[in-house]
Amino acid sequence: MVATEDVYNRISVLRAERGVSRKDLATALGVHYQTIGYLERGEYSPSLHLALRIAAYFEVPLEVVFSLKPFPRLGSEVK
Amino acid sequence: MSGLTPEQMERHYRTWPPRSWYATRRSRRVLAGVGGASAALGWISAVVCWYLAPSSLAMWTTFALWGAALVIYAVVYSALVGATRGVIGLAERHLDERQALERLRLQADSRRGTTIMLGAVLALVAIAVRDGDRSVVEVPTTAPFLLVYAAIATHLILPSLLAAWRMPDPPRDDDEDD
Repeated sequence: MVATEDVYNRISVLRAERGVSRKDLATALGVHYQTIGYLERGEYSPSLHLALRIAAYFEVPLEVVFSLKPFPRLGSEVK
Repeated sequence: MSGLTPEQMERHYRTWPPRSWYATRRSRRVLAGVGGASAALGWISAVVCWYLAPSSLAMWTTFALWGAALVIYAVVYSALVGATRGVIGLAERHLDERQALERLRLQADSRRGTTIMLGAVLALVAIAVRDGDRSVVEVPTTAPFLLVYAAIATHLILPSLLAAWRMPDPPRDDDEDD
């Protein structure tokens, strides 16, 4: 398993928001559904190609899904 | 089994062997240990032949040990294919990038393990044949053959054992959340 020290992602948030199961996402991306789980747990960093396909699937820019810094918690930016 | 699609293959291995065989890291490591023991039987047969061949005892011991090793490893391998969800066992084209990378790492680490194993065997053989200044050592012909067979068998199964040993618990499946 690839250790990922500094790549964070919002796949689980986007997936929950769109109501997409791991298996549906995995099928759309052509990967094993457990790979989605490893991605969400931060235990695997995708290739650039897969990262771009994930962003394209959710129809958002790459930086919305992946970041080198932890994403802020939902609601933390609301004053 | 080769005629099955990856989905059919996975469905098959999700019903047998039972998940309790590999659902936890501890049970996977037990499986790896049993698989390692099956490889050890091959090495034991080589040692038996080294000291006892030619004799019927050595011959039957060799047959029994290799037969047991094959049966044990066949069962363990079936469980490991299910446990690793195809990282071992499936053709490369059926793996996604994470699984392919994992397999490559397993193979690389196994190669290092095989190198260490061959060095250890060389050292042990050197110790076993040391006897004064003799340059010619009499060893039963079957012993070196069995050593080579055991080394090849270990080389072949080491990636699967390594996979079982260090595989983390996978994320829960969606259908397990219910």
